[in-house]
Amino acid sequence: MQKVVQITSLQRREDAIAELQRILPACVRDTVAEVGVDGLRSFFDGYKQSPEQTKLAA
Amino acid sequence: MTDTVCYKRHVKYDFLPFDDTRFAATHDAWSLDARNGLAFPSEVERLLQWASDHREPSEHDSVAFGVFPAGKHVAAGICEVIIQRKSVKSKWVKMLRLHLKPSVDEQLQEGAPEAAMDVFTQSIAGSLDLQLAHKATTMKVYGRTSEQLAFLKALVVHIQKHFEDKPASRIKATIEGRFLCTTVS
Repeated sequence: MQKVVQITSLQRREDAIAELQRILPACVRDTVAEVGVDGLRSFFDGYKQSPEQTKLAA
Repeated sequence: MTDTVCYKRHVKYDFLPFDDTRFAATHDAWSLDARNGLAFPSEVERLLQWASDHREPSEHDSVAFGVFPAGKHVAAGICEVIIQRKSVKSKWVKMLRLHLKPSVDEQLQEGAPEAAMDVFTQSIAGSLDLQLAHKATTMKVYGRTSEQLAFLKALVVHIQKHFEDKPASRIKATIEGRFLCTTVS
């Protein structure tokens, strides 16, 4: 019985993450439509600066 | 909205660790981009050296993953991920940074965001796969600058909109500090 519950729980986690992955492209598209290409550029530019700060985030 | 975005998803991407073949092809292509003036060679070399030194999965150090167009060996992006156990019941996957291939970054700078959007999307999707594979409670995306945080805050609103009419959903997306967090109950 416990094994059945574990399998069901695992399947539900898989389904939930799969749903998030499925909607992600549309969410990213809507986000870029909102912030513009400049906002996306700024987002990636942030990764070019200060790797030391990233180490702190880890 | 500052400009119009025409988005067509036409390339499928894979989120994969670097094996020898993929790393060599990526090293050569990114170095060539740098030599062609699309990025500072020293910065690209430093990133590639870091990726070379972080190819083995580890729970205590960050790992380099590549975002590859399906079937290709040259990464369009290099992503830094760390998997951490915070307590007996809590484990996190953190996506710490994502660098675009210089030619992809050049496209973005010239106003064509499609490839950059795909690389970003696949980096998150791949990190979610890691969350599942490692039975992690939370996946986090780091936003160091205020611009990055603003982008993540906009993204989380769009994710929340999708789930707001599904109260039974096991997914929760929030901003915590400088991170976008997704938890699966």
